[in-house]
Amino acid sequence: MMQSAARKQPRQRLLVAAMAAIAIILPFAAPNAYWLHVVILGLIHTLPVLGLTLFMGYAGQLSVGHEALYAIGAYTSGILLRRGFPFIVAFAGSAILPYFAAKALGLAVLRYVKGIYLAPATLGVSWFLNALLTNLVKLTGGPSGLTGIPRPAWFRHETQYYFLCLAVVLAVYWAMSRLIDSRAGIAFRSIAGNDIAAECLGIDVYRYKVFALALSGLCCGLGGALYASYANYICPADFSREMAVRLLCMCIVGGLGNMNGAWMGALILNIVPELLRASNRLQLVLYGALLISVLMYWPKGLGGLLDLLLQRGRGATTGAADKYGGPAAEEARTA
Amino acid sequence: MSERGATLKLDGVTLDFGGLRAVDNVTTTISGGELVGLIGPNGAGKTSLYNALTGIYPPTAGKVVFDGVDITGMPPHKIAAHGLVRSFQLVSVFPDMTCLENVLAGFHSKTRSGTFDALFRTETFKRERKDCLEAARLILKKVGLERKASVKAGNLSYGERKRLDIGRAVAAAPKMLLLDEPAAGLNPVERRELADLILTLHRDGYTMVVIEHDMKLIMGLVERVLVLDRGRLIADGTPQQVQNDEKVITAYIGRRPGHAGN
Repeated sequence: MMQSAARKQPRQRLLVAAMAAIAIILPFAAPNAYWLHVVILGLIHTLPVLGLTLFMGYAGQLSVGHEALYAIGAYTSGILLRRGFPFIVAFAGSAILPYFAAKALGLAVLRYVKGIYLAPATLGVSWFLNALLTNLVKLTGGPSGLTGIPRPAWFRHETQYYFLCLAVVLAVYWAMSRLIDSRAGIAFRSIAGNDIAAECLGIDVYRYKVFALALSGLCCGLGGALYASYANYICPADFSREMAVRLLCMCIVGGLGNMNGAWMGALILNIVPELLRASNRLQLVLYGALLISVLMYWPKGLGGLLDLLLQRGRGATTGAADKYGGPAAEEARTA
Repeated sequence: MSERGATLKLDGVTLDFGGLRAVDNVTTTISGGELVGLIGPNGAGKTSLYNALTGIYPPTAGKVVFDGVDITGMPPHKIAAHGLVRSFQLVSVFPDMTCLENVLAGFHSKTRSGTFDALFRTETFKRERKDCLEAARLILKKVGLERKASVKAGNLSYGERKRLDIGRAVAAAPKMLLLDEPAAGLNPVERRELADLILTLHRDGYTMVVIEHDMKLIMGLVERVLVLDRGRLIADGTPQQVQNDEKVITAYIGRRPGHAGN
């Protein structure tokens, strides 16, 4: 049944091979250390954006406070590493704590709050967390943050750290794509499609929404851990409202509910502002114009554009099925 | 009667919205294997009754027993898992999912594979996927959508969506199907096809309750009709009995002037 790899389109296989080659050569071909830095940030941001993609894109729930989960991951790792815990422990903590924090938030909020009303609810949580980070001075260092967060022993150099980030992103991407192409994935997408109909088919909507948020928290947490060690220094300003909005933009520019869109959005929205830096004071204006034009001309985002590219020359109907790589994609390939 | 059938017992089911009584003390029994029509003027409380039975709005008073289990006040997904599954008046297929995926969603409570199975593609996962895909294809064939398996539901015609909605409900392996105006908005040809589909499902052993406005359609389709008016069950009988029932005529077309004095 599951021979999708063997049945993959040649065009698709070629693209994957090309991307793998680029990913491997990139740190050595980067014009200077600064560009590698930008790409690493893009990779790190991919993780919370994947989290948003799961919660918003697939499960169809709104969150404007995902930077809070990202922050919990970063602070957990930062605090543990500064106290001398091994990296693997800090990393695990950064996965587990945000998972349960997100689960608790979900259990509290997702039973009764729906749709657009999730915006103020998640916003409230992120304010609450920001207040904690600023005021629990002994634990978090307060407004001046935590300094001297080490990197793991084998990943001190930028190039090495790049590959660490790449590995984590690939692992999360792999796990999420398998989960999406399963019973749980169908449940998530059903909830996004019509939650009452999903409930009436026997899907425990509340439970699956909470599950999606918890997994989303896990992704954000891993991103946070990578960020803390990479930057060596974190403070509440790193996880401001602007960060929350940037994550949302990455998710939407990449294409809601599109896993390839997640990394594309995260990378592009890190790279483009740097390219525009030359335009000096026009930087933000151009950046804003770019965001608006993406939303106007490619509402399905960069990921949607990639799908279109891959599907050219194939039947329109199989293309629609393939977008989600679901069992229907299997069906379409055999048909 | 039928292996798929189960008995649904309503005992004084009442549903209030604030001061408005949408469903008023409805008591009846629907047995396994039956094909029952539920009719009534607009606002009579037909959909509200479905909502009360399926747990969307738990009944204010009364009791619902399905297949020997008291399901009063259970959350909708548990009621669905017990085998009482409904379709919707307004088309509610999942637009961004393909027809096949829509039907697969219906298998949710009949399958078990979890996160671990999904990540590592365990035997359970593979077996369930194979079984589900086979069963889903059969269901799509039954509702006449086998050639649209990989078309997104959002790209289907209205009539096709209505049929997909029923197919998805059938996938949930119901012991009883509650259809809410399945023929509304369909053209005469589609209506005929839909009536045939309902009859096929009935022959397959599905117990069904059908809300329908089209009297002609319902009268030719079912063996028993329940009539609701202002939340109350005012008639229960064969189509012929119901058609000649004074109370039903009054509810639908008002009191005849000539009878005003009586």
